[in-house]
Amino acid sequence: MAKMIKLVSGDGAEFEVEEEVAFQSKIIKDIVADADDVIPLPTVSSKVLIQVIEYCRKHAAVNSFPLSPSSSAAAAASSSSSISYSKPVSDPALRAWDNEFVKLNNSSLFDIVIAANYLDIEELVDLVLETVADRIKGKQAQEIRRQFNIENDFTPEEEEALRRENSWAFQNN
Amino acid sequence: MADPAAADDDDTVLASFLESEILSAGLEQEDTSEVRPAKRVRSDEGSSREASQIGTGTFSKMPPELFHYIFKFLSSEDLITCALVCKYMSFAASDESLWRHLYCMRWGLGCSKGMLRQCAWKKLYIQRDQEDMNEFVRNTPSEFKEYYIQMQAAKRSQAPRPSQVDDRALDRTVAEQVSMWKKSRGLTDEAANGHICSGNTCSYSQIGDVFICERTGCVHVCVDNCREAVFDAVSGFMVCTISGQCFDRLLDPGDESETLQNDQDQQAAAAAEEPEPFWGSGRFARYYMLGYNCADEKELEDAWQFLP
Repeated sequence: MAKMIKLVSGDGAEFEVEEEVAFQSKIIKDIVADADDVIPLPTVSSKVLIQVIEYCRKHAAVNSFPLSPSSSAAAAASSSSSISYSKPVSDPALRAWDNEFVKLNNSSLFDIVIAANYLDIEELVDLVLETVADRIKGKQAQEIRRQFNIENDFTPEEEEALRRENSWAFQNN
Repeated sequence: MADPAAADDDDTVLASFLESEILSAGLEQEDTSEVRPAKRVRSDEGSSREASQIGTGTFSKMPPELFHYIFKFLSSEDLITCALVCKYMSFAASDESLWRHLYCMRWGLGCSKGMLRQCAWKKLYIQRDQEDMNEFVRNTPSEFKEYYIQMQAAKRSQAPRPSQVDDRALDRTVAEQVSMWKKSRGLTDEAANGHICSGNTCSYSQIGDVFICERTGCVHVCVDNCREAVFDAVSGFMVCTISGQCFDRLLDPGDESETLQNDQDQQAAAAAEEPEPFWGSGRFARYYMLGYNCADEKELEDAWQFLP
């Protein structure tokens, strides 16, 4: 019988999860080591916690049962070298799942990454931040502002000065 | 440049420009290995260039360290664009550690380790990019100019791959990593006695171009024409038994004469001598291959200078 850990969200909802799922979070792993099975997470809302648990459940399953050749190769590779170069997930099915998982609006994504950062779930943090970076890449400044609802707090003069200062990047000489 | 009607604004523009110069000078002096949103007090009445946290929009809930992490995934072009978005991003996108990473990714670790934290990396990057561009424009025939300019511009939009985002790997040379790997396995840096490493008998761990025998820690560096490569008749390639890398057999005559020369050299040399490095073997083969690779007499003349 798998050991269960109880997580309590900021708005008081309780979630029971298997130990290995909860242990995707390093913080929780440490807390539980001190023999505490009920873990209050006041800064994490239920909505976000549900999503985080979903991620952890999926990744715990993959990490503990490396039956597919690609994931067992990944496991072998990561165990034989203590210097892990890459954090990205090598199993293509899992990557596809991850890509679906992050199809959320920016606000939700940010909530998730903040929670994941708080809970110290490295892979989830990386995943979300990379996704956000992809949403920034190749865009113009105005598009970025629109996408993330950012106010342009430069005065026109400042903006002009900045453009001139950075015109090297757009020069074709 | 300046619109005559905006002549009055010239001073303001100049002031802003100077302000930005001073700001970037200030950034150079700090160790900005982590983002520390400035707590400097700026007394000018114009708006200050820094903000302790991005004030508006979705990003407002994002803590600075995560923000910084997002920028690690961006190319130099994207960083510049971000610098135009708002004041906080402008500050965050100028962080020297980001530019250090991009610089090293594009041109390698030029500085010695001691200088790593002290250079003004953003300025360096911009400068070198400009130098490269000038170089290209000066040296290429006019029909290729456009092409080279585009190639150069493309380099600015190269973003770090996810596996390169980890800064810890950047600061260590491969040699150090190999050492660390060995230590983690309880192996020393000395070669193990009596163990003959071979692609067929040992398993290897890979760090970059270096393959480490997992039993003894013997190191094989797999570069062009590595010694462990054997000819595979089926594919027609030289295949390294350790890394599995395939090398083209470039010149059949050249290879043959090199192999012959190798055999002769090895027979001539005493068994106690160390195997000669590539340049030391097959003198005739080297000249042959060099001649084959040179476009004309002049190039050949020049290349000969470098041969012992």
